[in-house]
Amino acid sequence: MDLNVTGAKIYCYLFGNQNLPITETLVNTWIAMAIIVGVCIYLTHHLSVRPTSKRQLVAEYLVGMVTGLVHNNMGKKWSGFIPFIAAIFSMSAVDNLMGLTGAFSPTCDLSTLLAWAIVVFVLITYWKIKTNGFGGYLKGYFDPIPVMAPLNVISEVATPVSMAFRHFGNIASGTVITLLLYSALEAVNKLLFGLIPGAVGQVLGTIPFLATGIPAVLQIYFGVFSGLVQPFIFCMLTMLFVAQAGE
Amino acid sequence: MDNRQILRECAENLALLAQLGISIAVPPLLCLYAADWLRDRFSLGGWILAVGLVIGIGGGVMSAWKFWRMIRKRFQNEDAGSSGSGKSENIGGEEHQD
Repeated sequence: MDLNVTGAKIYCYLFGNQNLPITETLVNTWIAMAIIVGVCIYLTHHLSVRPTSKRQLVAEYLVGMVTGLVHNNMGKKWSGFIPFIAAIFSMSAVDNLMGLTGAFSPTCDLSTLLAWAIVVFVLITYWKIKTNGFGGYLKGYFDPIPVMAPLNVISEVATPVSMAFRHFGNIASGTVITLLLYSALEAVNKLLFGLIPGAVGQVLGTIPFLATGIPAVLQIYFGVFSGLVQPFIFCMLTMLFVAQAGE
Repeated sequence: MDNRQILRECAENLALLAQLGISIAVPPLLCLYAADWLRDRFSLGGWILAVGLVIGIGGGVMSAWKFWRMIRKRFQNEDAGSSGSGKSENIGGEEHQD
């Protein structure tokens, strides 16, 4: 039985430069962005002051949901963060749910999550400097005593990195576990039907009876549940860290 | 408190708990990786890994402590907010009586 767990495929190189690969992650991220833009255009088409269409109700519900999430976790003064949180949440959710279609999920690539982590790190640093001034920001690294400065630097860097690792770990492990289960069930299927003598056993062994249905339960957990919980956690932690930096 | 709110609070608290664990585990790994890179780059001895591990554990503890402090502050703010709203209701009541 051959089982390969690989990263994103490289389709081609930009301008022939080996350092600029166009990977599956990149292409699928573009597809995810196109899906989100398409949905946004569809939902916000022909809006009226009093909602008359179902799609406007859906759009208002989604906006209300994200607004409530931001207000509950950050407070009303951070309303400017609503579009950013909505963007991160929708991007992460669509990326994760892409895995259900059999396509490579961009969140299975640590590069995607580390890029988001850099955005979060920049935001946290920006709000810390804006709130406390550059001197106050630097002083924070010597809290409670100057000897702790290296540890403060490490913990500062580790915050967004740990968020990225947790998100990546959940999605990547889900993909690997589901793949292993599919392969194991196919092998068991072949073994069981192989016990039937003759051509009947051989033919039945090639049809993956066991691999249809049983992994669906796991797919619901890893694909749908975890795929929607992880964006929520990532957004919530982003909100908490940024709001704390701005206090 | 309706079921939806309870579910959201459960999810939030679980997320915070999971992140607390991760924030302890990640700094030692990062520091070990950095120490290993330094060892290869400058042909240093194995002692650099021990130094990396010690600093990493320290960073992990610091990270967890900061995170814990942030969570505590959040809950304190929530408590103050809820008691504050009660207070404002009382003040409103007093004003009404006056």
